[in-house]
Amino acid sequence: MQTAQQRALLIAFGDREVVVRSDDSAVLGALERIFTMMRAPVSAGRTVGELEVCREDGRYAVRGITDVTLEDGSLADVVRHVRYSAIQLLMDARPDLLWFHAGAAALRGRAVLFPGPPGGGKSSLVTSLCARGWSYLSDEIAPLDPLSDTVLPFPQAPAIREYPGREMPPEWVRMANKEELRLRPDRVCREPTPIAALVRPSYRRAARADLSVGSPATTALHLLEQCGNFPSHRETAVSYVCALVQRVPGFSVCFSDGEAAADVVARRLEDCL
Amino acid sequence: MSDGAAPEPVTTLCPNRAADARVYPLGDEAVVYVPAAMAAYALNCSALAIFELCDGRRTVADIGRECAETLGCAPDALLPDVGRGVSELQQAGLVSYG
Repeated sequence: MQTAQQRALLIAFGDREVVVRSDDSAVLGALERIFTMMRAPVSAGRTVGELEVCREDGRYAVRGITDVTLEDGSLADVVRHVRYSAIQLLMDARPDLLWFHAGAAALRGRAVLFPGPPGGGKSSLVTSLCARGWSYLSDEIAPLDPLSDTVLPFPQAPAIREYPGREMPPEWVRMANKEELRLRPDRVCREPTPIAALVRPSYRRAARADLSVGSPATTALHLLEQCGNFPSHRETAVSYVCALVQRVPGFSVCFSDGEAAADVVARRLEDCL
Repeated sequence: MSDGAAPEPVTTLCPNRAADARVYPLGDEAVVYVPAAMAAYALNCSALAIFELCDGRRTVADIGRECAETLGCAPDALLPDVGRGVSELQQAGLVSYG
């Protein structure tokens, strides 16, 4: 039951929506910043899930259709879990798409996908490209429509980790050490965009930015490793990705500085886009 | 394929490709997918050449000699490398002896 103090946040992906309700302004405020470019002012689509965040005995709790086990019940903890739950609900609502752990940016209506695990430098690279006139599609989650070879926008606010330039221990990936960046609205791509290249980012301390051509097989394998809903597609995903890497070129970029990497990527991919 | 040390196979055994492995050729390389394990592997041209010769009839020594002949090497020159390659393919579940 909705109380008088509760507010709702509508997170939209295409015509699918997730509703997050809470009477806690800190929680909703944090989620509104993360999903500021995916907010729907009013419901205009199909609700695929509802999450409710409340405070019980000084700790946050989440109610909804997903099982959520909070670690410490802190604000950062609940925001992280609600964010992932909302993303999961949207993923589940579009099982026809291949969902990749990837950043994505576009230039002249052509998209480049940057698949990689957390901490690999996707956000840093994508936001640096956007500062050079590219359009933002996503910094972390990139849905790919295999029927049209297009990347769909999933423009949650790009977030850069604190302490850039340091090697990141695995546990940092789960910590609340990211800071959301604001992008100009006209820098955000709102349309499905044909994929034109695949670039594997690889952050290495003190590495000079360098882009190298990747073999189709290693490019395909790396992309498959980052497919979040691979178990739903299996061989269909393998077949599609192997065909894709024969249509679009694959690269890897090694870097320690996102700005330098963006310069190299923008210069070298100019001809592909 | 991993760089970890793999046990040397007996060169008289005949490795055989996994029956359900699906091969997606990509130039002179390939992605091989094993549905039962839900696992995919990228094989470079050397690994792919060895994998394709694992037909259950050729011994590891035969495979080494064929690879050497293709590359114009002495007959046993590639046997250690081929042996390691077959072991890695076996560890990945892409070939078996039996």
